[in-house]
Amino acid sequence: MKKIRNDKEYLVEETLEGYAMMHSDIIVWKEGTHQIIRKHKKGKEKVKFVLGNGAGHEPAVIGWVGHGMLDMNIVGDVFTAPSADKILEGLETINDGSPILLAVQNHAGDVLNANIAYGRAIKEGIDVRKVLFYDDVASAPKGFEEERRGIGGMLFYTKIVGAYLEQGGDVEHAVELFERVRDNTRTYSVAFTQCTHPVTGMQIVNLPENEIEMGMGVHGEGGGNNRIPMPSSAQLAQKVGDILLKDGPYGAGDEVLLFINGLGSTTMMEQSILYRDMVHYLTGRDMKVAGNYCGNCLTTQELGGVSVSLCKVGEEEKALWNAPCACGIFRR
Amino acid sequence: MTEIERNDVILMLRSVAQEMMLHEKYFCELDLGLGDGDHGVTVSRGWKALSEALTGQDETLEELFRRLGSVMTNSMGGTIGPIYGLLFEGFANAVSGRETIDLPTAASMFEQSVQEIGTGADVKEGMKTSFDALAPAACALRQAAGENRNLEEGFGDAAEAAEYGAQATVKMIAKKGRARFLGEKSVGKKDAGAASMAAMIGAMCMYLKQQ
Repeated sequence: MKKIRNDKEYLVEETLEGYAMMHSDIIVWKEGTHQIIRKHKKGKEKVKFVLGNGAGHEPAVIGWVGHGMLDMNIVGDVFTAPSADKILEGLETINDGSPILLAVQNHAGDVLNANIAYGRAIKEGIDVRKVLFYDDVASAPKGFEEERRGIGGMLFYTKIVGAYLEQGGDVEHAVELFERVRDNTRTYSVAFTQCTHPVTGMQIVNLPENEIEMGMGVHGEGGGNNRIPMPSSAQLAQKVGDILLKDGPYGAGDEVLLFINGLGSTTMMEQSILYRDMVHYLTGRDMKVAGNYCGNCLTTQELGGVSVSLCKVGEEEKALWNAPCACGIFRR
Repeated sequence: MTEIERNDVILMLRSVAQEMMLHEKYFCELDLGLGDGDHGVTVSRGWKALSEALTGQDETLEELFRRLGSVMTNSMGGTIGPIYGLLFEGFANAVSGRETIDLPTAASMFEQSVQEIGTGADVKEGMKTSFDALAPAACALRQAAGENRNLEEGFGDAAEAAEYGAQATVKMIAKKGRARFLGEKSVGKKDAGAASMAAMIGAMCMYLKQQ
């Protein structure tokens, strides 16, 4: 394995420290912890927005903490959900008496630990609301949406709900908004090349030359060995677009946000070409792209591939998507 | 032997921890088939933390198990952290008010763990998880206790049942954890969590037989 690292024991801490140094005007790493916190805190009266996740997916989601986005990210070990104690510790740090919205990505470990931490926080008198996110079309059939895992589409709720809370929005409506964004979001991912676990050095995905895997998860776990020969970008856009449109609440006349996420080693050249083809695909079906993000946002080490997310938006979501923000991945 | 006390438990867990850490690579390789290939790293991290927490503090067996459960949950994280936390919670519940562990108590410990994990993680046998090794071990301990066998014989049966249970996961379709997204493609590979659970029970048995 050729990866930049020092002692693998401190892989996560050194990542957090370095990333916080890089964006020292926006975030702070609380030394000795796995917490990334906003430098300029929201007022006491505003609802706080917190998300926990495993490390190894940078800039997710340490780079999503900042003005108009998350107030805190609690990070676990590599590809491992943060423990209940780490989550509780984070909630205690951020607690100032105002409600805390704790977003949970639907993965077994994230849910288990968040549930334990949530129960303890409530006992301590912390006003926590827990919301669950799922968007991966490949992980469970239509009709079983709640069993799906949460992947790239999380950018939509982070930006939209984050902006709403920055403006001083109330927690009840934030929950409603979160659920609306979730129910209007679908994601599908495709992997092209291998990736290596940064601690073990083992290859967790290994694909034959000229074959891609449809429906890969964020840890590089297989999408059920659903492999096809490498298609052209236009063909890929059509395949992924068909899957998303068939599953989600999308139709002619709708406005959507389009998010092309690079999984690690997919170049901006490739992402741009696919973005172009996805826009052609959508506009060809009388849909309008009301906003976008394109880049390596939620990665799995050097995995080659992309995830494509759509979110149907109305006026409220559109305005919030375009509202100002400042975090590691973007400033608006 | 018919029973062990707190000090023996500490020595046993220390020996189990050593054994579990030796298997780090094997658990990672198993996890490569169905997960992201780091189960061994997580298991090792948990048992190392547990090992360091095995101090000669003045506490009852119940307090010891409860403290260790929290050490495991927090050092491991992920799904397996809370599972080990619940395992030790179950142990703690069963030894409440006791200073020693005999075979019927050991059976209760594992039965309580089965109950804790079953409810807490919403898991049943046949879902291709660590539960498939744990649940048969609890049954084997109870049966051995009913036959008035000694502690090491009981754990011998439990280790065998756990190993058999772990092996049976090869043919199962995963219904929990990351592997469940593979559906029928998860058949043919052994569940890493079941393998490590069986290894833990095996290491307990090995320690008892060496005494």
